[in-house]
Amino acid sequence: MIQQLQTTILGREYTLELSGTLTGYWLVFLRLLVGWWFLHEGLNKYVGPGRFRAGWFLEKTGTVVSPVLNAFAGGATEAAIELVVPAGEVLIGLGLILGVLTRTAAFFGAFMLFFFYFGSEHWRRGLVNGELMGLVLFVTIIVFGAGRVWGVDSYLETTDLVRNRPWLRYLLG
Amino acid sequence: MDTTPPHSDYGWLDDAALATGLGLVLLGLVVMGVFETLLGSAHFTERVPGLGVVVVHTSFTPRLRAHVIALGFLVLLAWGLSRLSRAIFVSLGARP
Repeated sequence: MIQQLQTTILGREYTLELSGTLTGYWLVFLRLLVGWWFLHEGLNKYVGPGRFRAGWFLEKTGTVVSPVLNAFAGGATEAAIELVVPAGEVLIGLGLILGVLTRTAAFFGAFMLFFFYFGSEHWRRGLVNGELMGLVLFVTIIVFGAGRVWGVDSYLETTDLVRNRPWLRYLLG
Repeated sequence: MDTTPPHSDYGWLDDAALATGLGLVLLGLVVMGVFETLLGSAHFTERVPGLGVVVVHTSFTPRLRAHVIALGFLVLLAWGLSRLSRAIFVSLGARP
């Protein structure tokens, strides 16, 4: 079904014709792909050889996010990061695959990729790289609320809890 | 019961934030990238008496570009959080 979307961008009116079917298929595909990416990354950190270590990353100097990273380096905060990163990746992956709290999961995915991307010291692979593309994919999932197609969020949004609190849709979707 | 879709009230502030945030990301990635490409090699080495060989940067450093891009994403984050807080306030205000 073709939908007409009317919008105003910087004062100029536009009409977009959008296929609901194609958009729906693409959003599910995007969600499952990105979800599996993060679920796989998280599980690998549990089953792979050796414990996941974050020290090398948190101690980086000279990056855009170094002041924040360095504040968490060493001691209990570093140990906490080493627990949170694999668990977070698994939860983000599951959230996207099942379409539960999709926007929240995608937000934390984007949050992690923000640090991975801006934690680069030399930009040897250029400024447009895999981390940036991942960040953009997460933002795309947030923008479209991809969990509303074939996701648990499509059911959650019909409940009275969400109907009475429309702001919750910013966390679902 | 408030069934107003949360995206139905985009005003000039939303336009300004979106244009600024996305514009900064594009500035850091595309515009500065075009300049880098047009200006040729961004780095060259030069022998400076007393200092030895130094790396000279002719245009935008990757670090400067990264800061501009990061600023763009932070503007978008701030806008997203402001949308959420506005929606919460509206939701609370609409309750009896």
